[in-house]
Amino acid sequence: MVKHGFYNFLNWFDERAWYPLGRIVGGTVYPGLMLTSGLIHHVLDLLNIPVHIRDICVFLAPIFSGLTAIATFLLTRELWSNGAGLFAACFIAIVPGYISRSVAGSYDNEGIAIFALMFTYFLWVRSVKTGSVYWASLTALSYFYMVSAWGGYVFIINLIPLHVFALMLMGRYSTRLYTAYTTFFILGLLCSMQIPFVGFQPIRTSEHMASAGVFALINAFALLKYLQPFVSRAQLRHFFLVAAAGSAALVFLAVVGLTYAGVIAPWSGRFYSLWDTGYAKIHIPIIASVSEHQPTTWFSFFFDLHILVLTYPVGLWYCIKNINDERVFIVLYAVSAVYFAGVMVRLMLTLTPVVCVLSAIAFSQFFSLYLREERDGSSGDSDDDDPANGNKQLYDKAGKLRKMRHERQSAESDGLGMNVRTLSLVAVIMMLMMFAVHCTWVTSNAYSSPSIVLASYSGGERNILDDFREGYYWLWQNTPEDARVMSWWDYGYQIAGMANRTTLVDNNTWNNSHIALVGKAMSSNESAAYEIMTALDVDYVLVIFGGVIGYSGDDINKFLWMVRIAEGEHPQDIKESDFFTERGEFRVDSGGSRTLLNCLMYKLSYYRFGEMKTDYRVPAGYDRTRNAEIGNKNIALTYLEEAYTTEHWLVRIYRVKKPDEFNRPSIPKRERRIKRGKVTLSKKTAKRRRGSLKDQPVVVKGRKPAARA
Amino acid sequence: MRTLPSIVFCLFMLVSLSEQVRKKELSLADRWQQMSDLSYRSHVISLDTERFKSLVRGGPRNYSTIVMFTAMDARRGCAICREAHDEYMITATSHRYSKSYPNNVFFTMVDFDKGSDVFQSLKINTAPMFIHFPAKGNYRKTDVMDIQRTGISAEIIAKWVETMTDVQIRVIRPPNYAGTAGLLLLMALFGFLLYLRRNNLEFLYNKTMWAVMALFFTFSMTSGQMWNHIRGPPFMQKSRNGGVSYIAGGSQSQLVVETYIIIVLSALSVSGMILMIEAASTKTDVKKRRIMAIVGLAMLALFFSLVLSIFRSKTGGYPYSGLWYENRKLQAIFQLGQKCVTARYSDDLGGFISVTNTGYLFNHPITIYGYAVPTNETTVGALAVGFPEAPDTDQANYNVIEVDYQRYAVVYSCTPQVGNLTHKEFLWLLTRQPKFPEPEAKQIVRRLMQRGIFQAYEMQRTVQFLCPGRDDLPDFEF
Repeated sequence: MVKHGFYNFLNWFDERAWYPLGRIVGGTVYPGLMLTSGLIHHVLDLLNIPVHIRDICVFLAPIFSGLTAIATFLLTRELWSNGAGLFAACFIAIVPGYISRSVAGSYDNEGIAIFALMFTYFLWVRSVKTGSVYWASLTALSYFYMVSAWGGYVFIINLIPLHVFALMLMGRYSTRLYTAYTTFFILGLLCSMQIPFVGFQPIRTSEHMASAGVFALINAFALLKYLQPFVSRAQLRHFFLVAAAGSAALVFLAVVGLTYAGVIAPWSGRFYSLWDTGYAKIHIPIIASVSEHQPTTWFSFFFDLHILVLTYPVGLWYCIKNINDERVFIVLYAVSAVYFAGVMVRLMLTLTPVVCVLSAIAFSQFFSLYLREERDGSSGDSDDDDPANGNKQLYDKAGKLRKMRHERQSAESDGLGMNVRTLSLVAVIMMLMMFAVHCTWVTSNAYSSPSIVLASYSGGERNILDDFREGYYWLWQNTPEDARVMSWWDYGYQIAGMANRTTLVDNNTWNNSHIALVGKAMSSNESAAYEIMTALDVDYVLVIFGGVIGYSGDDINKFLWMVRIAEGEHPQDIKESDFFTERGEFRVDSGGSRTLLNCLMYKLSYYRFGEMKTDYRVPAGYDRTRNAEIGNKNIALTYLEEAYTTEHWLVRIYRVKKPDEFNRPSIPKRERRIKRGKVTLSKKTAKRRRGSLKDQPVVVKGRKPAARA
Repeated sequence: MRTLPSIVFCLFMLVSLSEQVRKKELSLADRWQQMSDLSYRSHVISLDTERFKSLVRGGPRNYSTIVMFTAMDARRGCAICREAHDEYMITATSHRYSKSYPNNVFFTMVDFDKGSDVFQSLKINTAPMFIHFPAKGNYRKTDVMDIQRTGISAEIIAKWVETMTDVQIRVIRPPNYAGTAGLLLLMALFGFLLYLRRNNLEFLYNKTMWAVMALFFTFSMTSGQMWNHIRGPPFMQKSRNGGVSYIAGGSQSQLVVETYIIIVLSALSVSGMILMIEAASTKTDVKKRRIMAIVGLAMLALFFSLVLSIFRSKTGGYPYSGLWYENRKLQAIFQLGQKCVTARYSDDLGGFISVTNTGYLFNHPITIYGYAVPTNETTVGALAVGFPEAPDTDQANYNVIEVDYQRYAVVYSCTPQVGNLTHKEFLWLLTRQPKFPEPEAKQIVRRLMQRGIFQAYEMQRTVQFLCPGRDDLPDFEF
């Protein structure tokens, strides 16, 4: 994009992905990420700081996580106090649930989206507080940025109307709210429609209808408020109830009616699966196949949030207890985000900021109370480098100070006592330290390993398993420029990016049937697969095989998903049950099902593996990932040939033979037809032929001598 | 449904009479007629042995039959049969009211108590079971529905029927009145309460109530109730040694009881923290407040550490405890604090055995190379191991004292030091796989102690979790 300019980027048609369909990149991608990095590059360039665009991409996520911390601080300050804000910023800086997205090098939509999310919420809370058009417009602009960055903007456009609706229900309607919401809604709507990928969705799909409904409702409400002075009180009450209920019902009916009429698209599958939790499992196996779309166990909650998961309910409690307009917002955010995080591991990301905010409120509440009397007593017993200490001086709210003076007068007699306070403080600070230890541990262990270069430490020194790059490099160097590579969709972007070859499917899983076709090819037998591959013009097939080094994320382990997805589209040809043994096991050894042992994926993974001994203790052909001796050892390939296998067999590339390269099926004799070209005879005589030898013996045509008697 | 047995009985009498009259094989038309008559009477035709033989197995026929083999009698104790029957009824009813209804598919069932001969002849020993009998020929293995994997919901049965017979069935569930009625009842109750207290609707403004509701919702979500709802794990499990385990072993699964335990623990620790804050902010008797603060602190600390320990037991390898190739060991000074310890023995040194011990201290690999010589040709498993780089362990005698050659080995070494005054003891439990069932390891320890190696009790587990380069990151895939 930096090279070709913005408009070319929007109009870029990538014929290299999704062969033979191609893909309109500008229209099927959220451009915020690329725009941001491009813009930074441009600005730095203007300042004469030459930074390569790749470096910007690598460091974009950490930069934005820093900005997220600032945005979280601002939001929490709006909600509670400065001290809580500092706590929140500290928490979001180290919490593993967010670090997973913000390590350097993770060039991902979510990285910048969380910043946009938090910033939008801050501006929204600000605009509700002030009721100024200025802040509301800023909210809309920030929302626009969010829309350009991530599909999760739907969360904002539903949460803010929910907030408004809840405030109206609670009788907290005010003109500030009216100004803020109407400004935000109109500007936000117009802005979000500027993104090509979003287009007219905001007025055509059900996901956005809540905001429109609330917009209508708040206008009706405002009208009624306006009419209030003109009608008598008794009349008004009656009229008010009827009108409010009537307008709500009208809006609802209009939405339902339009949905039935087909003007508004019903909920799309991905969002629907959030409500009806069983939906995705039955209808969209591609969603269910991604590990991030699984529901969340309490273990992952604790793994990602640790102590915060236990303390943020405390913050929630105090927010509800001391409610005001903007705290309604954070309560609604917390409750809805925790629901979504429970349904999908991936949405833990939206929960993490609110958990940080609420925990910060809880801790700041705690510390402000327990450190209060310490200031005039002996301070300095906890001079460690905990973030708690930094906040001590910052509790300077007027109300609190007054209370403190009151308490100081009788501090000795009715305070909690030094011992209890110190004990509690030390205990809580220790918990926070444990949290910090946990965060560093999780981050260093779980979230900072590159996915493309595997490192193994067995045998003493560090062995870098660079098979992926080796495989892609081979593809890049040794295959024709326009070669089409078939692989499972997980590797689509990597092949496109590192090997620069055309792929059939990739990580942008927008076309389910195409993926299912690849899955079908992988799970049918070789000849059936060959038909599909020729139909799709496949030149090379790439499989990932971890049996030699014991890498568990390989294609055989993902294979059941391929089968499942293929079965979803082609139930006649692929049946999942064929791939199990009679006892319902998925086995690769000789006890496995025949179908599995003869399908393309199995053959490609284990081709020539039967001769290989991974270890002297085990028989030949022993798969280390699945700890089994493979069942089909002498695999012969008819339609494909092995093109390349990397050092540790991690990446295996096969070439699909052209029809004239393998033994063609025999044709009955009478159907054989030998094609002959037109036989042309040279008109030149022997003498005039150029370059003929001199004194060449000339054959004189004669008659055949009669047979001698 | 109550009248079904009587109808069936009457039909059975009729049919047996008619069979006695004709005695001979039925013709195609008769069969067809009989089947459709039966199916008009009830959507799922209940069959006994005779009828099953003549109508389902006997030929010629031009219709295919879906048969559910079941055991509905309470004595058989088949809990799932009831559910399967209901779902099957829904499918059959939807089929009955579908547009293409009069077609060549019939839904039937055979109860074990009515047609045990059928079960025997088909060698069926589980129930429920769904088999499709095609119009032509015998049924094959593919005609049996794989309910173990797919489940038995009506939609799935319908889909299966469609793949078998090409007859499309749109499943129409009778609307679940129970849910609606419950909701209506609840709303009525709520409305009634509102009506009763119409004069003071203050309780709607009661923040404590709302707060408690919000907290309850939060706890149920963070404890993974949604996971339970989607995955449907068992309530509790039988552990291997006969007891009951409340906590699921792996980090990717959980039991229902476990989530309840987590709810209670987190609720208690949250209330502990709230108690502490309240103690500092309210203005009541000092003594009372102090007690409140201490109780709150104790609750918070205790229940938080309980949650943490459950978490630890699930990860197996949380910092400073572990899951190991070297499952457990007596703390050796040269391995202090290391995790992911592996030992590699290979016979590539020509006569010697090379030894490579690798451990990780804060993610930095620490490797020590050594060699081992079998000390005695006759006693198998006695080795002298030397590590040239480590002077204080110049010669250690490693004895393999227990091994099953497949999964684990216990290595013991005892070296006299400073003129026999003290001795240095090492004890390792090495396992082939990083993960080794803990009860079994404990059993090994117990066995060692019976043999007089009491130090075994002091062995500590080593971290084998999240090791660099070993692909055992907590992936949420399989």
